[in-house]
Amino acid sequence: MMIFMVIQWVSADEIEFTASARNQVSLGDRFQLTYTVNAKGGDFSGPEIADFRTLSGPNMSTSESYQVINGRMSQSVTVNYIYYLQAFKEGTFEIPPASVSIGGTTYQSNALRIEVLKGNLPERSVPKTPPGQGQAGQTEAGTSGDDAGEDVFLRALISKKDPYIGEEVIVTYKIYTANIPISNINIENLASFPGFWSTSLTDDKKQITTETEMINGREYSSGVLYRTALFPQKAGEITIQPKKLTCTAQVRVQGTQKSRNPFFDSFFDDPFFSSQYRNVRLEMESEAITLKVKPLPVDTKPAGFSGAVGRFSIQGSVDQRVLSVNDAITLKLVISGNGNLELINTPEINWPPDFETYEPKISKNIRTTPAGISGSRTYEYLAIPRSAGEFTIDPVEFSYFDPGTNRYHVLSTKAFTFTVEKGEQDIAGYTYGTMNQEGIRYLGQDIRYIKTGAHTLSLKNHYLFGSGLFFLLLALPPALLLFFAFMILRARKRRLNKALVRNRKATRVARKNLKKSREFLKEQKPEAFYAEISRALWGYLSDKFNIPLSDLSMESVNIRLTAKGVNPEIIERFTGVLDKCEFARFAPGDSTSLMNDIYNDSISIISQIEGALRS
Amino acid sequence: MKKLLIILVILPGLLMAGSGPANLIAEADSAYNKGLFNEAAARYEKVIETGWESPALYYNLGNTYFKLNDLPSAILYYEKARVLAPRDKDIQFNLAIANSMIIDKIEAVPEIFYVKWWKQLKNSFNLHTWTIAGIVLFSLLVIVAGIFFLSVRVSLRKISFWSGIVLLLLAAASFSITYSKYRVEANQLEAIVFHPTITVKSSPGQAGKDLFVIHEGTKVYILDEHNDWCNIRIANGSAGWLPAGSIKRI
Repeated sequence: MMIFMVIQWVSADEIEFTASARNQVSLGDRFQLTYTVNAKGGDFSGPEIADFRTLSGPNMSTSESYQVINGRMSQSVTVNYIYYLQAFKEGTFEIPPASVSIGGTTYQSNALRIEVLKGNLPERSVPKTPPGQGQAGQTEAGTSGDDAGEDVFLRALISKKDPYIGEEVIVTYKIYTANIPISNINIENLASFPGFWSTSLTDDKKQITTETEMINGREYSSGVLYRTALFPQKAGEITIQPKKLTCTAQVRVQGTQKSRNPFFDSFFDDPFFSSQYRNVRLEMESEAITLKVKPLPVDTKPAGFSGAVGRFSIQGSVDQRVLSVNDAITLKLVISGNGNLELINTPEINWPPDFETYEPKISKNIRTTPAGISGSRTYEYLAIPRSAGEFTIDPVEFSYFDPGTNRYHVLSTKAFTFTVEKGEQDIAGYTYGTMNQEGIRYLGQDIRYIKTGAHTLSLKNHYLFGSGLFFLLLALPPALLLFFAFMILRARKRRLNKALVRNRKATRVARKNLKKSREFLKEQKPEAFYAEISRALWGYLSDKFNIPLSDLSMESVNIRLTAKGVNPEIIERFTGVLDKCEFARFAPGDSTSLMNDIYNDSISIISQIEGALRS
Repeated sequence: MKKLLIILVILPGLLMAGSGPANLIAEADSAYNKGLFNEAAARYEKVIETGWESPALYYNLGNTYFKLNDLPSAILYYEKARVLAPRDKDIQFNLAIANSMIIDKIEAVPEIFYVKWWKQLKNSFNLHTWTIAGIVLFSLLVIVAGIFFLSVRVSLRKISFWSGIVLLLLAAASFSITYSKYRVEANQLEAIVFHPTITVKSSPGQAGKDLFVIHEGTKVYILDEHNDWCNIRIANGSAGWLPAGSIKRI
């Protein structure tokens, strides 16, 4: 039913020359016959068309496109030669091949068979938009089709075929009319775009401005009916469903034109009505457009990415640098730019824990222009400090994806520093017992940090217990003890023996000394006598009681003898003799009787001690 | 023996100064800091593989496994660290956190006060400290005994006699603690369950009757071993058999 002209780009050395047209038309229909060649500068000679009425033609139109694939530039040229024909008799007719000569070579096109049917084909409401149109974009170079055969058609144009998730895509619905006035335009479900978040970019109150466009050599006036910014919400293929447009067209009935409706024909064919208009209700659909939505790159995604796609900037400020406790502070963040501004998550602020915080107030200032959405979003965070101090709020990070450069960008505000001073009520409110003490608030729980610094490593599975060293250490003290005990006991024994000998000899030595003193007595040598007596007595004490001589004195002898368990009476007598002896040594006068006394005393005291020890 | 002592005292110092374990530990510490826990764990493990140990090393490895959400391994290494440093507050704290996150909540059997005191005393010092304490107490006992036997003075003999009896008791206590700790540590009689869920059987082998179910991270005491099966007891006194592969010994 419909013939679509297929555009191909081919390398320049491969020339193709094809003819195309609908293969079925109804009687009286106007249709388009197109010859397409992919080279310029050809000499076209058309076919002989006898079975159709040639309304116009051949009209030439040229389109060129350049492509760079893998660094290789290729050029494709399409030259169309278009006839507008009208069928005026029934039957099947053949259009002979046309020929074109390019660079001395003549190429022949294919022949076409066209069947002309009697009666009406259904009203041609479906616009003839080539399949490539949706993708071709708003630059229409390279698109063509047999739209020229249509008087009124609707086109959907998109700004980008393969956007990222969240990237702005602008869809424009344009109506084209070939100088046919239309009114009562109505598009169904205009603002419904499943799979997208959309914002209308057209001003409803504004009148549609029209402009003139040439399509395939035919002049059309076009007007933008609707323009919307779409933000894909998921990756993959998303189809924008065709929009259905209905309108009323005022079709001018020409005298020469055969109407499709025999009833109206007889009426309007009257010369009186020959240049009348009639209102025709037209229905048409735009092309379905399929977008291939790319997911955002995952591996380079910043940590705090909140889904912003476009191009943005961020500014932040606090309204006060110095404030008092319980005064409010406002932190303002402004994110401005182009893109899906309305879909940005609210940035989080890390307030110090002592702050009472509130939900941010969000205001937006968004401008919609035919070029897209731009503007700013303002977040105002209110917080109330509950304690004084110097506070710093970490810089707020905001990241977005720039589809232009295919990269993520991370923006950051500066850190916010401010001072909270003690409020007046704090100073006044110092009353004992009513202080508002607070327990420490725990913000989270985690294991403690690792131990850093030098480790003192030891060998694994090595135990001192049960090892040879262990038993050595245990055996060492008893061994040492035994050694020392042996030494001590031996020394002690030796000393004991020595004392015993002295003890035994003590009396004998004393007697010997006393004998000597007796001789001094006879010789009347008092000095020598006293010295000898003294030596005899002291020496006896020393030997008998095993006390070194140096330890003995008049003062200490008493204590020493008491400690040895000697009878106090004997001690008194002993010290008495010693005293007398000392006294007599230095006293002049009659000494012989005194010396005799002392001598006898000494002998008796030694015998007495001897007796006391023995019993 | 003296050579071994020299190795024990000097070698660690030498190795700390050179490359080897010290470098690996420093690398692991910095990897931990950066959040590269897998790398940190691999480095710490390598140091342990070469035959060294220290409470801090086990503790750091426990932390790393904790961050990797591997609770049984974290608990295993915290326990190993605690064996070496029983009074370290950080180890106790982190072990308590890790133990609070495992599935099994086992109420320990209440014990009579003197058993509790005995255990507390036992667990206040590590095996090495107890061994040295025993040696020191024994040496003191020998000295005091020497004083008792060699002294002539009655008062000195009295003092040495009573202090000798006290020292004898203390030395006996520390040797008994040392031996019981040595038995548990040298034979690795404590273990951590590593299977996510494991049924404790009434006899070694799958044919045994199911007694109760325990989960990963639970600490068990090994009573006996038989053909790759372990007779274990948990803190509440329940006992049964587990396949040896489901637990890792501390």
